[in-house]
Amino acid sequence: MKKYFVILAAAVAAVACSKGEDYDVTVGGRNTYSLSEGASYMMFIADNLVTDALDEIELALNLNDAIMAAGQSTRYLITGPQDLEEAGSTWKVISNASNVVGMEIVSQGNAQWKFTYAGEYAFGLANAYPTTFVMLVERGDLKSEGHYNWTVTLSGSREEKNSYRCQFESLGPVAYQIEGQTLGWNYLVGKYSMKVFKGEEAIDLCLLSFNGSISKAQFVRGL
Amino acid sequence: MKKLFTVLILLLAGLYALQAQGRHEINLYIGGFNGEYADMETSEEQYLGLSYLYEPQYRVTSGPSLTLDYHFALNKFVKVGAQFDYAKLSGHTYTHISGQQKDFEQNLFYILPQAKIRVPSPKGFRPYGKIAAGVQINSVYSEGHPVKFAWEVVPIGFEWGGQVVYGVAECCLGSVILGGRLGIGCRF
Repeated sequence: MKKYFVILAAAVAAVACSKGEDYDVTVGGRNTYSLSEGASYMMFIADNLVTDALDEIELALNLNDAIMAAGQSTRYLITGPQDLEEAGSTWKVISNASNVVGMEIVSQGNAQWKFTYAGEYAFGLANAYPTTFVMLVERGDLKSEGHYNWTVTLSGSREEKNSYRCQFESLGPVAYQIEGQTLGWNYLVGKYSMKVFKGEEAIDLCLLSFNGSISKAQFVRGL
Repeated sequence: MKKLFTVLILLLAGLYALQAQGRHEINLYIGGFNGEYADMETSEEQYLGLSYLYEPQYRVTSGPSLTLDYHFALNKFVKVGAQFDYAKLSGHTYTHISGQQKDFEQNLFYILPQAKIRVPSPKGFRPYGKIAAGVQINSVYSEGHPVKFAWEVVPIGFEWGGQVVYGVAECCLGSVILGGRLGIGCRF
């Protein structure tokens, strides 16, 4: 009989263990930063969506003279005046090489443009979600060859799986500035808000504030 | 649980003293982790998304399981009865957006009618197989029904030792136990 108890005790000792758990999260975007998960999520607005749109307008402006000379473009479908600086000139991005294919750029004159977009905007390497936005941008100082400071006013929305969606907007213009020897906008001033919905119910309201380095954003939720 | 274990040991000792032998048998086992919740967690998004941030993730781990079964011999090779299992689960839910983690512990019970089949074998080392189907009573998750279907197949098990008190070891497949069990039994 004793040997059965020995076997039972050995069995208990063998199985009575469990392991703990760590949560590791990988975030993405143009810049390198270490933020809370909520702030990292909102960076898809500040550090992906806006900068993709600004990259496109800078590329379009750099190609402006060449496209006017050629009278056509394989990247843009142009209607109205060909000069992108001229009010009413409308350039629609048609190249799949762009992150914002389908975005329409309409010149407002005076170095201001309006972007409208509705499509599957990439999120990470594997996902793309239905996204719409309207963005008003104003060109600022030239910082390096073909790169400018900008101010951005944004509103938009995105739908995700499991009935989640969000509405996002800038609270007033957000300044995108280049500080130091870099090609990216690394110095931001302004605020973005994001309202999160599950189905029809609003479940959260978040705020992402910038007053300098993009890596030092302040994130507040549950407003 | 300690009391139950003590009563069963006393019962086995009494039966052994009486040298009883008959068509009834009771077996007490300790088993591996629970078959369904041994080490289970909800899958997470591969990249930050709203589901990832706002849907609570859960992880459940089970401790070793305790099993008691009873059989009545219909003939020399076929027995019928039922098994009763108990496992303690522990785990936590975690919500990424808030960083909040909530721990919990739950008990899980099974009741499964069962058939046991023995095959002719040398004396003292007796192979068998079992099949069982019944219910799991579970209150781990707030959503869903606490009672659901459970099943188990023992493709191979062995008894060894005497005809009255003996040792048992068996492999298990199904939703109850992951791996196998060891135990003691008695026949009366």
